[in-house]
Amino acid sequence: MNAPRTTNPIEQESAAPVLSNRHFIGKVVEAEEVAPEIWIHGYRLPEVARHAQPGQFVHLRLNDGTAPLLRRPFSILDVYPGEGVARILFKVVGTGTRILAGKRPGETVDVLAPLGTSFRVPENVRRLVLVAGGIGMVPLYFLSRELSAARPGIEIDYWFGARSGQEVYLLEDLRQWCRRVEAVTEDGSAGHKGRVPDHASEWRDADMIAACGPIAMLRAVQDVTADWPVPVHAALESFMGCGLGACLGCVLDTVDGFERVCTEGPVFDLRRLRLEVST
Amino acid sequence: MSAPATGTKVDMRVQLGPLELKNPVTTASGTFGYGTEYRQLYDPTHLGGVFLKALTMAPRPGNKPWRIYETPSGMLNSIGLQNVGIEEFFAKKEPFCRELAAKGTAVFANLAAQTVEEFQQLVERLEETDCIAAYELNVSCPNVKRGGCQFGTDPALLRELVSSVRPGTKRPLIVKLAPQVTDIAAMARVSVEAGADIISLINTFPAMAIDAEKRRPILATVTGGLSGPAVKPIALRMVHAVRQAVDVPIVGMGGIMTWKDAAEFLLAGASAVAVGTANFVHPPSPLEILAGLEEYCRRHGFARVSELTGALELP
Repeated sequence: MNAPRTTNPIEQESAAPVLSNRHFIGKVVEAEEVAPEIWIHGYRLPEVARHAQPGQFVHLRLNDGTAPLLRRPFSILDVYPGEGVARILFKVVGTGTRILAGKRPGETVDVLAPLGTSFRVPENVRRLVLVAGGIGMVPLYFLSRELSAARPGIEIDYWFGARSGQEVYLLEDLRQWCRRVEAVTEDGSAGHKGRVPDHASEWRDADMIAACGPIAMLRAVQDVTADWPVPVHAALESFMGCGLGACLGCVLDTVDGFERVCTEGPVFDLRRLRLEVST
Repeated sequence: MSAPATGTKVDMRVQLGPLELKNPVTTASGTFGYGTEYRQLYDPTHLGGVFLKALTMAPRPGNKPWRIYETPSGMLNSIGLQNVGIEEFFAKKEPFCRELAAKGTAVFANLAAQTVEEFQQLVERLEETDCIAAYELNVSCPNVKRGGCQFGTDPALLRELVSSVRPGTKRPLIVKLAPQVTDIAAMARVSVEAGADIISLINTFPAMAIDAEKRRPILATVTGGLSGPAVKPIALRMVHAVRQAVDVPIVGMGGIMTWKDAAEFLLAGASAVAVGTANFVHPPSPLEILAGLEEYCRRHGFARVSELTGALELP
């Protein structure tokens, strides 16, 4: 899809089965491969569509069996409260995401959502720079879309880094609501050649930076913005167990000790994180 | 055994030594926090019991990430007993434990320590609250450098620990056994001889996962504990072995995902079960297991769920 949805493509149906106010069964209403091995799924999840904020995630069970066993967290791409649809974008990277990519409209998914913290953008932010790496583009897409609608006049620059042009997508969407959208690819096959943090000098007039991507990229953003007088926030990922704060499996190290990606995160003040590139 | 008519209520109460649980379904330590985390999904007071996340005297930061990883039909964890410590427990967590206890859900404190003295101190401090039904001695955590499973794999140390803690409380003592021993029945016998009232098993298996591309272990601590359906057949065999060896009640656990798994553990000799990894996969599992067990009893003509315990018909 290349444009935000303005009409309702989904027939009105009865509400999704509600197991609790965080646990739902949703019908797949959209399944589209937008780039090689990159999928957008839309799920009919009215409660999630109504309440989810940029940065939050869905914790999705892939099948009823025991392999794969654990749920997988997926950052929310956007929501359509009117239609009761929440969408995710994911890359096929292993068994679990391969199973998910096989789901077709009409099938169902079992989700815990919306979970985790969201991006908080102070009211005085006039110019926001978003720094995305690969699949890390997802929560920043949601953030840019929501903010541009909620705060007319806000200037959003979206820097999208990837290995190659094949891994850069949805730029036309982003151009509708961002002042500037720049692709940066390691092989130069789309946009600028190089890595996103190489362009940090162009972010200097930002009132805030928000980032999401590989640990190495986040480390580079940390380094380059270390003494900038603006907030620098980032959405993180981790291997995750319960997604609810109970198992303590998904922690990252911060200046205040270990914190849970599912509960204190996934959105953190990037300066508080002690990131190890090896992890 | 009397066959109840269809629709008749099955008596779901079970006896764990001196304790009566309103039903045999509990949640395993470390998978359910202090009960509060799952309140957003359902009312935990429906459970027969809750085994709290391990407590130590001082707060513990736990192990470096990565701490968990999925393996075939199982998962590895290496949390490292991260917990708030006993003082913070009293300040922040104990009030909800009181609520659980008031509604008839047994609260089991899982205690972890590096020394016999620290175990004794934990018991002494927890005697101050009346919301704890029993103490589960965690002598089987595979993920800490000291303490942890050393008590649970050395019979002499285990005997010393249990007999030293025993005089400090009138509450039941539960020993949570480690599976990585040659003869788990012998460890159960030692525990009971030293004063344990209840045996719970199994804790996770020491195990590891490797990233071949990076030529590195996945977990920061190299090894972790394996849980989930992958360990269930081994856990069943161990519950069966312990049932033959000792007369005290058993809390069985290891990969229980469904009511059928739970029924198998009861038949093998457990009086109650603990649901662990399934809490992560499908949070309502314990409640569905409870409903499924009741239906199973009705279908098989058991008026009381406790009749299932050890009802395995051996060839």
